[in-house]
Amino acid sequence: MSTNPIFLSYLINALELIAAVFALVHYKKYVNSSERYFLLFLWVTFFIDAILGPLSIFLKLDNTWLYYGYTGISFLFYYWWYHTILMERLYKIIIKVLSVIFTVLYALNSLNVELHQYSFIIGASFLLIFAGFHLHQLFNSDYTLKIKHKLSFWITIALVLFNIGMLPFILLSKYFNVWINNLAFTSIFFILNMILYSCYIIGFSWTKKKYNHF
Amino acid sequence: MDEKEIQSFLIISSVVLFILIITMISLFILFQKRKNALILKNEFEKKHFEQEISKAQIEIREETFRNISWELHDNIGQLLTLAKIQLQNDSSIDEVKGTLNKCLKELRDLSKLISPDALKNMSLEQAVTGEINRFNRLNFIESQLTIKGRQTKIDSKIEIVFFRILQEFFSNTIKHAKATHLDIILDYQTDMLIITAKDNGLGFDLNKQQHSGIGLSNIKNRAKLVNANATILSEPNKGTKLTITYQINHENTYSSNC
Repeated sequence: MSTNPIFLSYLINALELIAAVFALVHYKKYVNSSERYFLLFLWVTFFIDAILGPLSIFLKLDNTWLYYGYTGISFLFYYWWYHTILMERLYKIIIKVLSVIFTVLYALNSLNVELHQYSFIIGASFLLIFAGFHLHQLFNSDYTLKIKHKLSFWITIALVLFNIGMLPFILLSKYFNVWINNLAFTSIFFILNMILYSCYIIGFSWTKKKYNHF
Repeated sequence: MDEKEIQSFLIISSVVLFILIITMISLFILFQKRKNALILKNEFEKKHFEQEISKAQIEIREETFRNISWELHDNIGQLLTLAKIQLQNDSSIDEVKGTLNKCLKELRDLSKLISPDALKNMSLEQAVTGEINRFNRLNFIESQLTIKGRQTKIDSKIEIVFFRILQEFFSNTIKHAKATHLDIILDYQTDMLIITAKDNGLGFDLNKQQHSGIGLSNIKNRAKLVNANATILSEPNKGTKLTITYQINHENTYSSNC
């Protein structure tokens, strides 16, 4: 427990890099689907987390806004992605409405740093709803029989497991008022990241071109 | 970490872990259930598909038997009767020989047409040509087959369904339409096969209930079974037109799925 928690954050950066490299290597398999934007997204994530973040610390700059901005953009990216891959009109309408609600609340929460965590909670809750829509769509299609080759399934599983773990983690940390940057708590965050990026890596490795055509 | 922090950490990590495990198990159970249901559904559909193919094959065979019976009675039988009358009337040997030769030729044609091997390996084009030749030979109806484009290989099970649909259409034309012309077009496009069959008969009003039963729904259902689309257009005194459109290399055909 005496190990520096910074070490774990480096490991998270390494996972981000590995996922981005896997996304690049297997790009041809999903180039025709809207999942292709995940390549850029994963590299941007790595760039912000592994380069811009530490750089701002080195330059003694406040990086709160960097991460808050990234949180907002990443949620909106996921929402947009679900909007493109979901077929049912009702789902698309719900995504549009909840995206607008998220953007408004996100902007309002930005006024107070104390409320930044709530933006994540709202964003993650909405994302879980959309992930549920996608799983419903997948489980009612013929893809169910070949689901391990479908990239959108692995991305959705990654997002579900990460966010469903992050929600109680943030809420309980706030409840017990123990949001502390020590190894014990960073390790939970690390495990959730490990699940997230492992699912991405499995998804990129196992996916087949013929299952990613829209 | 003090005592309070350790306690909080234990509670938080347990809750997070518990939720993660519950989510994974639920997703796995849900997925397995859906997968099993889908496998069962696919198996049922495959069985249904096979049953329909067998049914179509049996119908084709029955139709063939009906045609043999008809040809033996009305064509070869007539020629033999004629030969008998010629013999009774002391006609010249050449005349009787001519009739018997014609009779033998018809018999050979018929035998060739109904050999099981020929029927089994027949392509859609050959099977339709056989029917057309028969119609023309027996003066049932003046028929013509046109092939457009380069012929593409289609699953034989699907060809059986198309042939049975056409046979049903021909049978309706001959029995009910009082048509004099029948035109069939097999149009092979890059990724599509369009089959058109058109007669110049009486036609019928598609909106009238009593006509919808004449195998029309059967034709449409059969086409749907192989992911093809069948449309029938007809107007009183303007003939009837059947169009079957089929996407070649359709990914969802049962033959490639199962």
